[in-house]
Formats: sequence, structure tokens, C-alpha cells
Amino acid sequence: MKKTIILMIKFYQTFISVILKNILGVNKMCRFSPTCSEYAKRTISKEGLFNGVKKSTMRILRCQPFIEF
Amino acid sequence: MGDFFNTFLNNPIINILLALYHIFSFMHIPYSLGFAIIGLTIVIRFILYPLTKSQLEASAKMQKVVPHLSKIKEKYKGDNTRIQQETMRIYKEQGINPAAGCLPVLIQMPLIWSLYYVLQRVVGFKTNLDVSGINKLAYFDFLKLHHVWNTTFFGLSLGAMPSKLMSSVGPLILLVPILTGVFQFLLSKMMIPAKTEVAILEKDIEKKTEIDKKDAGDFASAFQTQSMFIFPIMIGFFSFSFPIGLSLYWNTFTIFGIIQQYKVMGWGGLSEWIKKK
Repeated sequence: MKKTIILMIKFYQTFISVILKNILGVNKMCRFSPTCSEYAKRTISKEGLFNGVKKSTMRILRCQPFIEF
Repeated sequence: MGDFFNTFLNNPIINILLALYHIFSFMHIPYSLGFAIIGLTIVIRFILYPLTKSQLEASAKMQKVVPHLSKIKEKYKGDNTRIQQETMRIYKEQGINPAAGCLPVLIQMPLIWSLYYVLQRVVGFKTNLDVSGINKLAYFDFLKLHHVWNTTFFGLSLGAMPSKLMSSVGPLILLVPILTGVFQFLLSKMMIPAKTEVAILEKDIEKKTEIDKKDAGDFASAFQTQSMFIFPIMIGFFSFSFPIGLSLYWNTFTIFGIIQQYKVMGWGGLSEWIKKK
């Protein structure tokens, strides 16, 4: 399960993210470093599926105009 | 969920399309539907303009501070909260508005998708059944269609795919996917910063890429750099097998994107070619 999720994130990083950037015409759209997907990959492999997904979801939700980071 | 999309995205878009179609046919403009599609795309792009503009500007500024950020990453390696603090400080100094985040970008996706969905339905119109179906969605009586609209555009049926037209129109139809690919390539090329800027950045970035390369596989980074070529080819291939009406939408979308990119960031990676001429 953990491996599948990480594989999916890698697929997203390699293909989907690049395609999205091309469609929307943005080069760099992250306020966080490392990017959310990279962060998700790391936390999931380090802290397990449940904690990793929880932390990454919170992080994605924080990436919006109404919350200062 | 489907209802939500219909009420808030698809139906308003259908009504804008109907309104534009009526305006254009009232003005006796030929190929009203084709121009209505172009108009609709431009309307949507203008609605999205504030979002994309701020995003483009932020992205341009962010690219400039990449060297600073990699230095910080090196300096405070392992101390993530410190890195985050220092990053924020630099953003503030450079006047980058971190308040935007990625939400404005993600908001655009459903709209782009919805436009695709509506057009894909609309260009295939043939029978009165289709007409009564769309009339049910019209907000006002004057937006309703009285007869099946003409789906041709300069002699080509908007609902036909270039792949099917090869036999009747001949190889000239290949211009549609080729042009679609070319426009996409121009936009992708413009997105890459001009060489002079890159040269300054490169020295500083070298360190950073060393760190990054450990994470990303060779194939991934290859795809990243090659996407400038791969993506236009992909889009060209799509447009070969999709109805022409959708290529019309996509090209309007891309050309608007090119103009927008030029207004905000200049020619970018294209400037080296333009100067040579």
C-alpha cells in the first residue's frame, strides 16, 4: 500500500505535474520547499501511511490565500 | 457531484456560448458557432486573467530568488523550520506575495475541463433532439435555438476529427494538429527564462541541482527538460484525433496564453530566436 502510494506520487511528479505546468503556463508554483508532493513522499516513507497522508493533506490545505504561512 | 458541476460550471458556460452565438448570428457573421467558441474561450481566459497574471508574476520573481533559496537550504540543512522562516523572509524582501499559494492555479482546472466537456458535446450537434436538449439548459427564452446550428467553420465541420477528414480533405488537414503543436511549443519555449538570466542563475543553481538529482531519477529529470518538446507533440496528436472545434478552443486558449506570457514576462526563451532575425 505504502509503496503504491509513493509510486503514484512519483508518477504525478514525473508526468502530471509537468503536463499541468505546461497547460497553465506556470514554471514554479510552490510556496513550500520541498514541494508538497516531495514532502508527501518523504513523510509517508518515514512516518507511515496514516501520518504521512494526514500531514501532507494539512500542508496542501495551508497553501491558499487565506492562510499565512 | 455531477449536478454541482452542471449547475455552476457547465450550464453557465453553455449559456455564454448561446449568447455569443446569437450575437454573432445577429450580426450576420458567417460561421457563428466557430467564432462563438473562440469568443467563449477568450471570455473564460479573461475571467481567469487576474489569477494567472498574479501567478505568472509570482513565478517570475520566485525564479529570481532560486539561488538565494538554495544557499539557505545548504546553510540550514536539516533545520526545516529555519529554512521555511528564511524563505519567507526572502519572499517578503523581494515583494513576492506568498498569500496566493497554489489554490488559484487549481481553481482553473475545473473551468478548463468544463469548457472542454461542453464543447465536446456541442460540436457534435446534428438533430432536433440535440437542440431541445440544449434549450432546456438555456436561462432565458431568447437564448434558445430555433434550429440546428451550422457546425461548419471555413468549410470544415467542427465536429469532425482531422483523422477522419484525411480522405476527403487530404493531407492539408494535417495543418490543424501541426499548428496546434507549434503554438503549444511557442508557449512552452517562452516559459523558459531567457538565456542571459539563466547564465547568472546557473552557477548558483549547480549546487542545488546536485541535491535535487539525488531525489529525482534520471528519467524524471529527462522528461522535465524534454517536456518542452514532448508536450506539443502530445497536444498535436490529440488534436489529430479530437473534433476540430476542440482544437479551435485549445488554440485560442494557447494564443491567449502566449500574449499573456509576453505581456507579463516578455519573450522568455523565445527571445534568442527573435533577436537573430
